[in-house]
Amino acid sequence: MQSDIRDSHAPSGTAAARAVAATKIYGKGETMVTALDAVDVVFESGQFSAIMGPSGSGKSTLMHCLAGLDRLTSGQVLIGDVDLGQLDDKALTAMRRDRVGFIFQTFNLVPTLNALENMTLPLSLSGRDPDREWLDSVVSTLGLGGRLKHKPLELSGGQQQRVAVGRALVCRPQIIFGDEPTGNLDSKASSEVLGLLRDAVDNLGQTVVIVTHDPVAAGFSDRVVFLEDGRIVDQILKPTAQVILDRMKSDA
Amino acid sequence: MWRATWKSLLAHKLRLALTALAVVLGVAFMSGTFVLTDTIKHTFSNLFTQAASGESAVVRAVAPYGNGRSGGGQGLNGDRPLTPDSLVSTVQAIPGVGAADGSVSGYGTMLNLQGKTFTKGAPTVILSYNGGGHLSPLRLHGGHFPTGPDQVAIDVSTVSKEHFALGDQITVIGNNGPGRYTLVGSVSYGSSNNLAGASLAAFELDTAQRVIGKPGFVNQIDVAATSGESTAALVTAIGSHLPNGFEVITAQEAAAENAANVSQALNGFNTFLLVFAGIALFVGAFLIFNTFSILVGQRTRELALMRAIGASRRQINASVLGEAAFTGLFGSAVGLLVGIGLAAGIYALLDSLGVSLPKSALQFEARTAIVGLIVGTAVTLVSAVLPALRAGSIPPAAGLREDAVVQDSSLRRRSVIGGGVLVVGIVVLAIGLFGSSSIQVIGLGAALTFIGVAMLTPFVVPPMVAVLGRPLPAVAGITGQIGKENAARNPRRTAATSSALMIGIALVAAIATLGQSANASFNSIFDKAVSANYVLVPNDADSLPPAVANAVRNVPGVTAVSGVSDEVFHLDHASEHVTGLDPVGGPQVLHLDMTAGSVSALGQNQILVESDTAKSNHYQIGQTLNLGFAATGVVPVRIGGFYKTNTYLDTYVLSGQFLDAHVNQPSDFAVGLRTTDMSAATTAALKAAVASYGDIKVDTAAQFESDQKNQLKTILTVVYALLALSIIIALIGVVNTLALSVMERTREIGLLRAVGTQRRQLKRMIRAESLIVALIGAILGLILGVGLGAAVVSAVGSSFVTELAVPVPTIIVVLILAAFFGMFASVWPARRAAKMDVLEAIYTV
Repeated sequence: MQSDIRDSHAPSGTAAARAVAATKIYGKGETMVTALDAVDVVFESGQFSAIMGPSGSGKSTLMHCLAGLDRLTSGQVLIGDVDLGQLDDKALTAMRRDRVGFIFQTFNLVPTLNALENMTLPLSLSGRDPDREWLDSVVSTLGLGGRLKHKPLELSGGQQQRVAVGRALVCRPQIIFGDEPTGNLDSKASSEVLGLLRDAVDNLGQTVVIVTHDPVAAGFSDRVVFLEDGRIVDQILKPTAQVILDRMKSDA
Repeated sequence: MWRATWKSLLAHKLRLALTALAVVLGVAFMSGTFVLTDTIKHTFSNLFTQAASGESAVVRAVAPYGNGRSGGGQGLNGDRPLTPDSLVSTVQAIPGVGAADGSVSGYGTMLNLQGKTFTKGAPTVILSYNGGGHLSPLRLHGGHFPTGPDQVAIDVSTVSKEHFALGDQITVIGNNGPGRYTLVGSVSYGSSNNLAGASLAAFELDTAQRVIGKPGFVNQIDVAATSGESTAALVTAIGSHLPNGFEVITAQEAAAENAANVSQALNGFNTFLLVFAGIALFVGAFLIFNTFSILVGQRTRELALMRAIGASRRQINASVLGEAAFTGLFGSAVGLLVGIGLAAGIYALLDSLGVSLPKSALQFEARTAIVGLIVGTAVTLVSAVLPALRAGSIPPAAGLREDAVVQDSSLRRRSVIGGGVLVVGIVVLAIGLFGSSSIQVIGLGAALTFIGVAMLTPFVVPPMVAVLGRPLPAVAGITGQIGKENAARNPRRTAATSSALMIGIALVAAIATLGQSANASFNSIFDKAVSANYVLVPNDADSLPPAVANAVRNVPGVTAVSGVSDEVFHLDHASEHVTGLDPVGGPQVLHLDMTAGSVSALGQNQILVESDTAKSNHYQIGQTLNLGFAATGVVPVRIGGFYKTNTYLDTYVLSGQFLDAHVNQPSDFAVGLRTTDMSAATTAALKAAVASYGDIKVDTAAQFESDQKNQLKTILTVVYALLALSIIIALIGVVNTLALSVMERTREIGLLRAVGTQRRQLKRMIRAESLIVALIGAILGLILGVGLGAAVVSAVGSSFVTELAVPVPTIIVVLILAAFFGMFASVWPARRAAKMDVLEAIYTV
């Protein structure tokens, strides 16, 4: 298993995001916690990856650092060829806006903006107009046709997450990060949202990385990376929910 | 429960600090006013007591109408007849009297070595010194007291400021015209280097009487007892020897009376300032109400949890009110301290301006502390009552729901109550303006109107945001749009924040409308009132001796001259102002538009009455009025005619010569002239004729008119400055609301940052919201204020304002300033928002 991981460190022209010796330490002295312990990992373009691990394993920290929401204590994270550690706040913000898509567990949308405005928010922030044709195709894929003028409070939880997926897709980012994107949804809405992400990877060539503790959600991915105590301990390629569940049980 | 209240206070200390700041500013203004006026009163009380330390009793004529300081330029002690010199020897002969000195006090004008006045609008006080040692309040500092008719002693402060030296020839202008006197001594009044900023000129008694224009008379007789004689026995002894119409009081009583007169003069000033402190607190109440409403809203889940674990509704109410009480008490206490500092600062400022007051400790009376603490705390508590009740009505189940919001009272109920309050406010205001004309009623009406409008404001917030925010998306893109949406998000909050600003701006706009209308009406009012083509006015003194009118009478080209004086007489227990005019020249320099009778009646010492006053009093031509003059008693005068109202005339007009005989020290506030031409030569000749009176201004009618307009502007500027505090408090309210809203929207801000909103864009978003809130307040305030101003204009009537003028330049300036300060108010909240850690913000529960 370890050798597999090391293979994936190999520099690759198609890496959408990668971490090199990524270390994140919180606190000092007695209260010091090492959330990430020299993690090396590559997420290739056009793949759907899932990061799993028990609470406190560092999976969320890894995602936040990869996405430019948090900074490392040492090591590097790169989106494409850009080393996020070299960017100031302004450039990092622009990076998130233009090259990264986000789907959070809850509170994904700005309550004062309607569904369409939320989807085009990153483009509006950079002063760009959306590509009409692309926008229409994203909207029709999401199945939100009649609800574009609705404010978030007028939408169901599943619809809200689909709008969030739409926002991530509209600006055609280099990579989309999801932090428990289905954590708050029932199983039907959950599989709708995961199906959308799967389609985005398969049909549109998107790169998607999600953090989840749900084996069913992870089962939609091409590759599952397991974290424990801030280290990558395992990975499964072409997983199924059952294989993941077994892996998790063996751990316990 | 109190523990929970305390914890909550600590948790929100920053937000409550801003709330307390509103209380601090209002209370500081109030207590500063008290401390300042108390200190000045105390200072004068000390000064008079000290100055009277060498005397035991004062003999003087009885004041026929009470010592009401009836004003009108009659000079010190103008409220009673003068005492003849002959009485001094009578008093001197009474057993028990050690020394008795007649003393004189009045007003004059002193010139500096350059021949100019220098006293900044204050007159020079003329006093006599009769060699009576400690009977006089004057203390010698250098040289000697005057011993001859051409000698003068001047206060230490003036001598040093004007670089006078003993032996200098000093010009003092009195009712006998300008005179030159040799400076022989420098003196203080008690321990004060001058008399609260007024210069002093002391003469021998005879000279002082000539300068004031009343030879043979004194204002009072100062008496010292023989050693061993008690004051009480002395007063009794003197009392039994005095002729009718004279009285004796102890020196202590006289000092207390003088101090009381100063107090009374200060009371108006005190009330004037307290009105503005009250306005500031009223505006502060909106801020406090809003803050507590928002805090209760934000703590819904926490309060519901407390209800769920057994806190009663009353305990919740009490908890919020407890927080308010602490905030109010704390704010008031700090306000008191700031107020003392403020008073000390103003005192130091007065000192540096040359108003030399004797050094005195600041007077912080118990009343100041009690009133300050009670008013500050009460305003806070009253403002927090509604939010507290709302907190108590939160159901325990609200804690279990993720998106719990406090149920607001229905908008319908609000519209009914708000509409009701507004209607009552307008009715009360109308009664105040057109009926009772009482300032309290007008104030109550205005306050109710403001509250009513504030209650209805949430209804106009969404459409106003839509209109005002329309250009924002085009200018600032999506950030502008979000800012705009945020302003409309909670109409009540935006309304309460804007309303506070609305009040201050409405008052500014009302004053501006009044001022603009007065200004616009001024030309026509002036033309209707004044027919003089030259007007002489004192430049740096407050009045002109009557001799000035005579000095220009024979200048070539002068066809008519009249001094214009303003005095007071008593009629049926009321005091009335009367204008004195030259019977021949007066009607040529001021329009006396007669509706009945004739102007020539003035020459027969008859009185003319303004026609409306005549009508309301049912006066008839030929009827006799018994005019009561403080200096000379009752004088029967026949009514000779009625004239149309004139801004520069009182409601009664008498011959100036006749009037001057009934006041202790006559003076004119202006001299009007008609000339055959207005050439430079004539102007120069007039200037030359009055040159020896210091720098009297020789104005053409047009110059005089524009000077008057400028005076109006100065008054408006002072009022604006005093209203500024209310506007500052309202802006603190904007800062506070924005900061609370930013905290409430932490997750949203985190999300916006996560998906790529730059800090700059976030700041712009908050700035847009702030701008809209400020503009709503400004626009509502301007509409309300211009309306209020228009109502006042129509109420005050034609003598002051004839046409309504909307102050367009002021409106534009207010809008620009509101926009600017609105954006300025967003600086701190925006910085807080921009500084938030993205991750922490987005994962905030």
